[in-house]
Amino acid sequence: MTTFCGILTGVRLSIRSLIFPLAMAAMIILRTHPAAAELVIDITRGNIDPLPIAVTSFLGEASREAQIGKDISAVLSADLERSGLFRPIPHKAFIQTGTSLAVRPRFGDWRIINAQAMVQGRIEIQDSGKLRIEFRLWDVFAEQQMAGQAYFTVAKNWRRVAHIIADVIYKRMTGESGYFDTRVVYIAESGPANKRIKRLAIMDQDGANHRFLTDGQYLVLTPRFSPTAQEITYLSYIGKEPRVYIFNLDTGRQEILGDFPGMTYAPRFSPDGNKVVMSMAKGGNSEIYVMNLGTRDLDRLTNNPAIDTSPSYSPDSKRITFNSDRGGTQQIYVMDADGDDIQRISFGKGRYATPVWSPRGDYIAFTKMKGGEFFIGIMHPDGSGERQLARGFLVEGPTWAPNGRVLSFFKQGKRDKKGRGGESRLHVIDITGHNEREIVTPLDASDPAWSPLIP
Amino acid sequence: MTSVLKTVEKLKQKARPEPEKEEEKPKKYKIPEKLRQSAQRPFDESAPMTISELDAVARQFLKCWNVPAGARDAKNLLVEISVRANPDGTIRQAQILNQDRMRSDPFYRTAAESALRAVLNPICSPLKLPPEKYERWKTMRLKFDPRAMFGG
Repeated sequence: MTTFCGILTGVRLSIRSLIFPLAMAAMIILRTHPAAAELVIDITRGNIDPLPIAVTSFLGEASREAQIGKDISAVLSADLERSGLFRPIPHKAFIQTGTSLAVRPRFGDWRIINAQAMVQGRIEIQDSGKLRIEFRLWDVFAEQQMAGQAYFTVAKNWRRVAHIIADVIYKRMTGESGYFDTRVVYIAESGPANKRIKRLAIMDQDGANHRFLTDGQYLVLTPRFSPTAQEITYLSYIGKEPRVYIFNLDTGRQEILGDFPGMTYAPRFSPDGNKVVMSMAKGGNSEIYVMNLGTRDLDRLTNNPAIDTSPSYSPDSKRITFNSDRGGTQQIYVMDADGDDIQRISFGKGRYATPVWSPRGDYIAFTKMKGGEFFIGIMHPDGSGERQLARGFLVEGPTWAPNGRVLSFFKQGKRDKKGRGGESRLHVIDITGHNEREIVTPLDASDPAWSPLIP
Repeated sequence: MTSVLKTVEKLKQKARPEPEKEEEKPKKYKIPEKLRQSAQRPFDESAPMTISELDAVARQFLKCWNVPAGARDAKNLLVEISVRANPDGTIRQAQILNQDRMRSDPFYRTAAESALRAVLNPICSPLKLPPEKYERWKTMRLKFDPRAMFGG
């Protein structure tokens, strides 16, 4: 016993005098112990809070350059914030100043205010009068550049560059394509309920650059973008009957899509832009037709005494979803693009309408009416995973942002007995059902259609 | 003579730019008393990490693992980060394993970067691990799997 204690004390004394006492001894023990395995820790829960990001004002030497820099970062910051995925940190919390940042980021200054990412940029008005806009996106913790680009454009395009940069940042951080460099076309409404004036209007997705495309003399409905984003198709009542028109945004010209012996409704472009699918009512029966824009050939896809309407192509052009009451009530169906293999996919209680296939192909959005209430919902193309995203007295007409992650629709409030209320507004919402927001429009708004990314 | 030398040196110091990134090298380390005491306890090979110790670390990450929501394939975004830790629980080195997939899969890259950011996030530093078991957690693999969060 004494000997043992003696040895122990001896070991202790010598250990005290070393820097890496037990650790060294232990490491040796570890190495000879074959069963020592690497520790694995499972982390299964985090948070889905918006990512804190610092968007600094883009720098410019001349005052006009600096002003453009401030404007671009404000638009860019607002885009990221509106997506619900980012939380721009207020400028007054920034520690590192512009002049020092222009040399090099001091990552400690950004880490300490909890910025996980940081955006900086520079504006230069060149001799030609053109703008050079440069930006860099930094990963603050890893202290590495994540993205960096320079753009050359005319000064009046500064908003588009801000949106393009927002899309680059969004994609780099989330893996998803962005949707900020897009426009929304919709029906602007005004006037009393019995004498509504409806005008075609277009704006940037953030509400800027708003303009009216028609003067309200003729009723216009269901505008839709072509895949090239330069043309809009819509329904108009010029003359007594509704006809499908195509409006060219560049030239401002509108032409009738075809003089059909019947009423045509709900037109939509095919993903390649070469065809328009629509429903046509002849003799009280509504069927789905597809027209080749080049040849102007018209093909009938459905053949059923029920009302078939509201067709929408899948992004691979192979299938079409549509609305039919052939099963007794309004439900959603999917068929091949040639009209074969019609399958019903909605089975819940209530009526389903306005199906729209997501540009990502993984969801179909729709309007649902049940129990006197309206809902905007999504389901997978096989009918599974039905989820309600929004509800209201009247919510209708979903349209997908080009990244298939965000939806817009319109919402109308209930009018009271005195006829007050009943405003109609455009809303956006995430497919997770979060982050519902209103798009500010000058008048009442309905029937939104989201453009593809502007080429 | 000495005063001239001093001024020359001062200027030099000012001119030298701030180091871009501090090299993570093993520093001369002053052992905190708590650590010194526990280090004097002999390494107990038979004392594995307990479930509650591992849970404490997992719970720490609730605040600093910012998960990209609504990703296309939330079931398939398991990310493994290999970590070398300092005895005080701060991170010495962290690395994403399976970097090849980062090049081909942008959603995986997003998930991997968010996991690495979680490990480097000052909010989660130091990791709450028992100092006397340092040998157990000196190197470890953190497996970030968001599946449970998205009902997968």
